[in-house]
Amino acid sequence: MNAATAGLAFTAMLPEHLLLLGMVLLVGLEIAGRGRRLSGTVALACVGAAAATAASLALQGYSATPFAGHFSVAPAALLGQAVVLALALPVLLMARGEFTGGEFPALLLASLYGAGLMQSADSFLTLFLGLEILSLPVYVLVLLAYRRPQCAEAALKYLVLGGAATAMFLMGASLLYGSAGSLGLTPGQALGIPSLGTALGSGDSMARAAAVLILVALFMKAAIVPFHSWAPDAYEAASVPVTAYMAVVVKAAVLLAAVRLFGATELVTPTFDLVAVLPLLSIVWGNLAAMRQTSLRRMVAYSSIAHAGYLFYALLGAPAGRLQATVFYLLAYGLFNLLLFAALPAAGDDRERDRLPQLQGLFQRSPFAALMIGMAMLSLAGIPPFPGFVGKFLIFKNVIAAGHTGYAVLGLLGSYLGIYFYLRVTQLMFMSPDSPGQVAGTVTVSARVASLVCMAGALLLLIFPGWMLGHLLP
Amino acid sequence: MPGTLTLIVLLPLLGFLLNGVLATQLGGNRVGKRFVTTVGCGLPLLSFALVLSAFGQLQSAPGAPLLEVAYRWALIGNSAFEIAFYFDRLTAVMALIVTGVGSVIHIYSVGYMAHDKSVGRFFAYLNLFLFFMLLLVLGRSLLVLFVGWEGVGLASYLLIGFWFDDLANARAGKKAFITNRIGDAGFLLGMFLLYTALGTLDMDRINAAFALTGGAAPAVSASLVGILLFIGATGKSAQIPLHVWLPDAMAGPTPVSALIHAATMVTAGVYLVARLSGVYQHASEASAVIAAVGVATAFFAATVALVQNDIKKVLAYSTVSQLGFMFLALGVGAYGVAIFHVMTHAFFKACLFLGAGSVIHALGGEQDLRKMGGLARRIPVTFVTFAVATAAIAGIPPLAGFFSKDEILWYAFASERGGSPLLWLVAAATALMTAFYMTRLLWLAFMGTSRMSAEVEHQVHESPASMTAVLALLAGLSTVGGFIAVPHFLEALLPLPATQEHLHAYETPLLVVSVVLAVAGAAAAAWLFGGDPARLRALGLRFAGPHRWLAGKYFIDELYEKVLARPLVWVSEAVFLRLFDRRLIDGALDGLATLGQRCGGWLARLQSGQLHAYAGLVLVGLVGALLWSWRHA
Amino acid sequence: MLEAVALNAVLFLPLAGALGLLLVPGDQPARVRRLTLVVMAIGLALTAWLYIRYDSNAAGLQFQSRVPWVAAWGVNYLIGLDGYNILLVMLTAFLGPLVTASAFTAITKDVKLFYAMVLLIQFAMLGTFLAQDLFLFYVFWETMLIPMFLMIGIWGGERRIYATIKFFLYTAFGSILMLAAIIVLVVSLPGADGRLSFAFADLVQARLPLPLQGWLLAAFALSFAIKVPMVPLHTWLPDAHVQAPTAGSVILAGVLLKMGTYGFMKLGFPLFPDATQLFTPVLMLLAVVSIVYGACLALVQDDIKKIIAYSSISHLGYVMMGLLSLELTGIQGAVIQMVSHGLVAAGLFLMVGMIYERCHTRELSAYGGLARLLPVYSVFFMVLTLASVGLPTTSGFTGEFLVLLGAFTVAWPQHLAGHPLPLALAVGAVSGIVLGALYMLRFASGFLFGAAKAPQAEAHPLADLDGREKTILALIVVAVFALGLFPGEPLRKTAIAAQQFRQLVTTSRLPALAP
Repeated sequence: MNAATAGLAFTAMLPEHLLLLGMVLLVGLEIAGRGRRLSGTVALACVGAAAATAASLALQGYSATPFAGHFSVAPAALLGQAVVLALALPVLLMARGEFTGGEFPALLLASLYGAGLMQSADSFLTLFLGLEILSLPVYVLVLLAYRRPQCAEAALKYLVLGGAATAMFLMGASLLYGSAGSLGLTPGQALGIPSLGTALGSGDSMARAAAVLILVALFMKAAIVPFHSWAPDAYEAASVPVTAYMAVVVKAAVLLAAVRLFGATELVTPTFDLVAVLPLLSIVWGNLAAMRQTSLRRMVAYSSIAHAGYLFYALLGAPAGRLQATVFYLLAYGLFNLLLFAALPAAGDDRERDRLPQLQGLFQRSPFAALMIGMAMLSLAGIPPFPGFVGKFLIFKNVIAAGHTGYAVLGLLGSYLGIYFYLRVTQLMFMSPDSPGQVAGTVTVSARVASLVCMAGALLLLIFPGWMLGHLLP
Repeated sequence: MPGTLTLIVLLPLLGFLLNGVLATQLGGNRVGKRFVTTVGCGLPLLSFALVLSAFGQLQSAPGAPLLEVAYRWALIGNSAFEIAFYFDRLTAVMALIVTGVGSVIHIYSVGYMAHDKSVGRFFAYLNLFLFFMLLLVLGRSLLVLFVGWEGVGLASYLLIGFWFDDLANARAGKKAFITNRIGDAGFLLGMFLLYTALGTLDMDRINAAFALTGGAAPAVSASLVGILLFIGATGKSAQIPLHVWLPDAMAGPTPVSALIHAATMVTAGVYLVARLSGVYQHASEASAVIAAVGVATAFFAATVALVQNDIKKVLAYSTVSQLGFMFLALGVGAYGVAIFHVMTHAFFKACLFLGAGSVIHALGGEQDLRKMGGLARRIPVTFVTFAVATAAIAGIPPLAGFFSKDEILWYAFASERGGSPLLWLVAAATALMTAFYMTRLLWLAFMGTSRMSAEVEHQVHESPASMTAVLALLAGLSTVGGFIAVPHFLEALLPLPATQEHLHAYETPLLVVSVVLAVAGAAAAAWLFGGDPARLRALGLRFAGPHRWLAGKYFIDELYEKVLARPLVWVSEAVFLRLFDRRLIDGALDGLATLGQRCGGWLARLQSGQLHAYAGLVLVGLVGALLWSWRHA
Repeated sequence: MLEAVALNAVLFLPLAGALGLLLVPGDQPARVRRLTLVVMAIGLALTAWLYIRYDSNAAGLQFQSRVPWVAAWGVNYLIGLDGYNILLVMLTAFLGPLVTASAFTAITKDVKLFYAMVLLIQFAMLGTFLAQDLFLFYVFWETMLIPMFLMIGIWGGERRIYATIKFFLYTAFGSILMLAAIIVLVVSLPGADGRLSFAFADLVQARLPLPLQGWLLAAFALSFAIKVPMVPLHTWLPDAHVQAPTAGSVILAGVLLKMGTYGFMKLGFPLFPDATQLFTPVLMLLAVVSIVYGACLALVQDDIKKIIAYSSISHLGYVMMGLLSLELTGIQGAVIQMVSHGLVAAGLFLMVGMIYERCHTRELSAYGGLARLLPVYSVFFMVLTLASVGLPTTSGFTGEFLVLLGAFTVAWPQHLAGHPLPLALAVGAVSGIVLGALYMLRFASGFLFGAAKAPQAEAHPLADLDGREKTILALIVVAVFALGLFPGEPLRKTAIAAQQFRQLVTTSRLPALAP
């Protein structure tokens, strides 16, 4: 390995390196017994630095191929990575109140490392590595906030089903290899199967089976019906920051990976139907099931299932616009989801905090939290002027432009079903009387900061959507 | 002088604003009674003077009507709607009646309403009425006329319900307004039709257009327009089938009944038809309908008037009947004669109402004829004037009513435009009944022995000079008014219809007959009510059935209630509100909402927490996906 | 130039005000009220100035400003005044201060949030009227819902939650389909350089095949018809009105309902002329049904707010009728009728609010003889009643007269040509003026006349209107008469737009057949 490639590898993987550095530091701090005080700050610094690097590289239009056929970076990918990393920052912030000590940040950084890796993967091997590194720490994170037996049970389910997903992915990859003799994603050294997309379209049923397996694995990670059932339990069991992480960062990483996988290929039937119908199904399913939830995190789980549906809709659009749509949507979706969790006032114990009725008359107790959560809800419902609407608009615009008006209309109607339960939360906070029993929920300082950060980002999206979108165009 | 016409109209409005603001709670009752009455009577008198001056102008330049454009209301595309005033001989006659009779009734009201606490409001309303009435009469275009038309309706609504503490009065006002609205709907349609066909609403232009083409060319049949506008007239002038509001309108103060519900407003319909004679001359069917409705109304109302016991109700029905006469005249093309009768009727009916008012005033609010009698000696001035007016309406020569009514009868008989012996017969019978019921009224009120209760008895007093003077004036006009040859004066404008040659021989005999009828009617009433009450009772017993029908006004109100009002409410309540709105629409929506909730619950329950269940789902999904992807090989 | 700045100020002042309220400490409602009133008053002054400066003889946009917003899709921040919106903008700005003042005593809970909502609604409504870019329009259109949702839900009556959620879901459903239609429309006609454009000016040039036009118009129409509301999509209105606080009802009846008719006039019909020609009979029928149906329902209500709510349905039926007549008189009448209804219904709701503050009930049967108890109140009430009935010299007459005249002038020739339906509908609409008198006088007579009775009147004598209330109502009454007696000026302001509208809707824009 000569110096040139080494330098290349250094710059190209600088974000990853920074994360690695962070992990090392954190472990060191733990050993030195300073973890309590510093770990959070260190983690913040590293992730922030990594995000900044990725962003700046992207804006410079930097691209390189340190490990041909396995790992290459391009502006678009870097920007995606930057977004994922940036979305992790509020998670770290709101975690400070929850977790003391270094485990949480360390695990988070590890998982983020995987997320980063996925964005630049060129081969199924790298992708698989990224996926695993992304997922494994999360299993632990769910357990980390062990408060009640359900957590362990949920974590177990998550682990088992996640494992199944991994297995499918591996199976699919090896089938592809078997049928093509290559793990390549890029045309470069591919023998007949330049990418997953063509495999999906190809006449070879073996290849298609492989492709479907991989697709299903992605569906599973992104919690698309009917592969979603782990999500509600896991989300409810995990502590708030972890739920936020799963709902936002993990989902973002997986979706961006999916966009990368499908590369520049138009979807063709039969797989087109899979990518159209199952997301549509999860939009409807998620929105309906969310109506009757009394646990906030379960509700968010179902809403995230629906949002995964919208996100996969982006793949129905023309390849050129997919990344733009996905990234923008992920930003809008992620920011407001995080805003919701960050602004959620602490209450007696974790279960209490999670109960929807806990939000009754919240506006009377803490207007700030109520306003923040209210805005989050309306944006997630996709109501103008909030960015959530712009994101939806962008995705459905692409879908319609690609000529799939029918699916678009159905999807929009599905999103209509969602409005109700978002409104219900708003109604609880603003219109229901403040029940005397409620403890005056407080929002920790760091959480306040987190929510303000999200709000600032959201405002940028709200006022200058054009700027953001301009940079996302390939 | 320029602006005269505008000023004529605006002066009463000014009075309304002054009194309405300063003399009511709105402005905190800033001014005293003197101010109220001076403004209230002064401004109408002023506009009366202005009408006279305008009349002078008109006479100085014969044939050329005065025209004043106040301003342009709206310009749409290239069609302009202008607020313009138009003053020709017809306008002159009407304006003189309105301002003249109007003014004296204002003066009368000073005494009559002296003890009412909201006299300011009263005069404000009266002025408001005059404003709209003048708008109606002076307006050049149907639009302005319609503004006045609706406006007088409003004033009448407010004045009928003037003593609004009694809901019955308010109801009467409401009834009047809504009945009129029904007519107005027809009016509007007629107006739209004319506008669509001719592109203008100026009535002189409309007449010209029809005259020019002999009624043929315009895209509308004159008769259709005629009928539609006449529907409006039936509302305003209380003709069958929209007459029901006028008797109830007597709930208002008596001067109001005299001014609005006898002398002026109710003749608006007559004025409308006369004003658009250019149209009606070419609308033979419409004219026939008008004549028929008119004569029917005249007869029907007279029959009802025979048995009423409320002094004002009798007069109300007699008004309806007299209006019927006017429409009969219009129907047979004798427009000038109709206007003539409008004038004479204004004189004697105003006199009668004000006299009745004086009686009611004297008896402290008593209106029931059965509780009167023998008032002649107690309130002589009122009695004399009342008697004169009665003779006038009964058609005793040489009083005013005789001339106008006789001409109507003649044209009804002989006009070439729809005159027929049958019409004459019915009209003559009506004339007979008119004489009868008016004499009955006179007798029951003033003659015979008193039937008043003791405390009423001793407080009976003659009205103040301000009122009796007005009565005298009107009585005088009722006497000589017939010698004002209105038809001739209007002939240039409203030519009288030709009469059928072979009937000319009948003219004198018919005249004699009508006089005989008048006298006979009066005599019969005197004989019946003057003599031994046993006769009356016997008669009452013999005709108990018919009497019930007449006393019940043929139960038309009840009919409308059953056939129109109740079904409307029922449909709205039961069908629209309960069935459509609540059950169908909201029911469906709530159903969908619950359905969504149900599905949500069901899906949530699928989330059993059982790992194998989840695995099963995954498996199903996976296999399904694989099979689907293989389907297209 | 200066005008353009002023126009932006008019639009953004309320938003700035709403943010400014955040700085006012919550325990000083008096300052909150004053600030809001000042903001609204300045807005009104600026709008009035622009109204005067507006050149009636110039076609097209005036005082416009354009800033690229989402350049990638050709979305611009593009606002301006034209004949379509000028009167409605004026109406909105005019009602702003009145609404603010009307709530001084009525709202005591969460005053700050309340006025923030009032200002936000004002912002959104002005934006909807001023927007000349479809994307911008849609954003404002939807934004309107949020503050209204909160206003009804927080300060409303006992069944407020049901009412407000019903209101939101009803309207949102229409909007969702409109969104789909907007996307399809824009995507289906990229500009010369393949760039998309959302500018109305570009979109009204669109040439689309008939079936597509039909579907798109159907989607737009659904959304607009819900807002109007047209029977049978009206059932949200009574609930929303009854439950909303006075200010909410006033905004709802005064401006919000006009959004639907405005949408039809500005977008629905001009964008899809051929489909409009196709749908006209159905829409006409619905308009007349609304007129009669609304009137009938108003006739049997005992809740005074419901009476006015249903009367709104009836009155807006006239607006639709006028627009659909596609005849200058009718179109201009429709615009006047919008403003007139905005004034009259707003005034009536204000008066209902005033009596409700005194007696705390909305049951008609509980009242009587108010003319004795509250003489001044009764005068204003009677004036507004008559305006609602459409009595000449009031704005109501101007609107109804012109609308019916327009409808009739179109219907009669068609009748002669052997198409009786339009004439039948026109006549049906005329019947509305009778029904109107029926329900309004039933209302007014029972309310003002008869034996004096009012809840809690015997406990303590009712206070008649105070200076603030008098001023509010006097302003409205003046406007009502101004529009009734001198409609010439406003009509000139809208004349060119009316001609454009007719021209756009009556000229077919099917795609040119390929050679």
